[in-house]
Amino acid sequence: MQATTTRYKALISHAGLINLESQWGTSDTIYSREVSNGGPVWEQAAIWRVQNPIRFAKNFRTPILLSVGENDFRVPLNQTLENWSVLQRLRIPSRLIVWPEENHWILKGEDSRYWYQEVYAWLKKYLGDATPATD
Amino acid sequence: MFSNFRTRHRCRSLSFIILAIAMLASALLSLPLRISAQPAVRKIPLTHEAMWLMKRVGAPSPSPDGKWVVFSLVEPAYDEKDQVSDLWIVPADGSAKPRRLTFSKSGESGVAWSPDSQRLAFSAKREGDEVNQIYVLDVARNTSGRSRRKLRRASGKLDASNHYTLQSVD
Repeated sequence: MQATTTRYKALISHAGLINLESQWGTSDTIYSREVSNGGPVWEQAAIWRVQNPIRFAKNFRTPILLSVGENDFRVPLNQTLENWSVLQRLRIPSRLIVWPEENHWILKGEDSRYWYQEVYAWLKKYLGDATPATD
Repeated sequence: MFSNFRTRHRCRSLSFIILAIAMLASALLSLPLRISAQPAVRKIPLTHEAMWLMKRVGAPSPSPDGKWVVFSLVEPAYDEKDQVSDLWIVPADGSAKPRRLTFSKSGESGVAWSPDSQRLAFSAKREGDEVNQIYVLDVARNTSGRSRRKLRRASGKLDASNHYTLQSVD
């Protein structure tokens, strides 16, 4: 969605994946990724190239809120930091939240409350202040 | 021919009576609803607090005699150390409000009734326990939860679907 469309006013990504190649070396699942991508990274089967979001970064346009838990070993912190670097380098409006005590999910009460405040504020900024229906 | 007509007629009358009873029953059933209907409540947007602090009811464990239902209730809090999970008991017919059976920091799980519906066994990690222990609560004698005692020897039966039935407590 970051690379292939501009139909959305804003995006929100928690534990997002931006780079298949670094994901291969840092995520907790290596071999199955190799199998589904048609071989190890260095053999460069087509999927490593045509389905790797960072290779399409020049198309990124949409403002995006990024979020990641430091204890996420499935889609580790580096993915979100790479995304953040690309977005900042391209000067795309973006915001980064790193949760020191969360993993792939945001489980602690105060973190969850803060997260939804951030989500709401981000949507409000780009979509306007829609009053919830009361009836 | 005549008797056929009578049978048909009787059938029709019977179905009319059944229909009438059904209508009356549904009218009576809907009556309490109408009486208890509250004046229109103002709707408010759902907040994070309302969702997060909503009490969570666990799966019910009915007693073998069908009189009681035990369930776990999680009372969430924003700070994990303030969260409480305990067992509660309520008469199966809803004739009384649920009462709290346990009062511990950590939760209980694996609730099993004794076949005579007098005692309740569950797994819990209480103060001083290194790992989960099986505790037995004498439900019939005291529902306050204070009289729990640690189960030292238990015998029971494991059925084909991995259900353990507690048979005796030492």
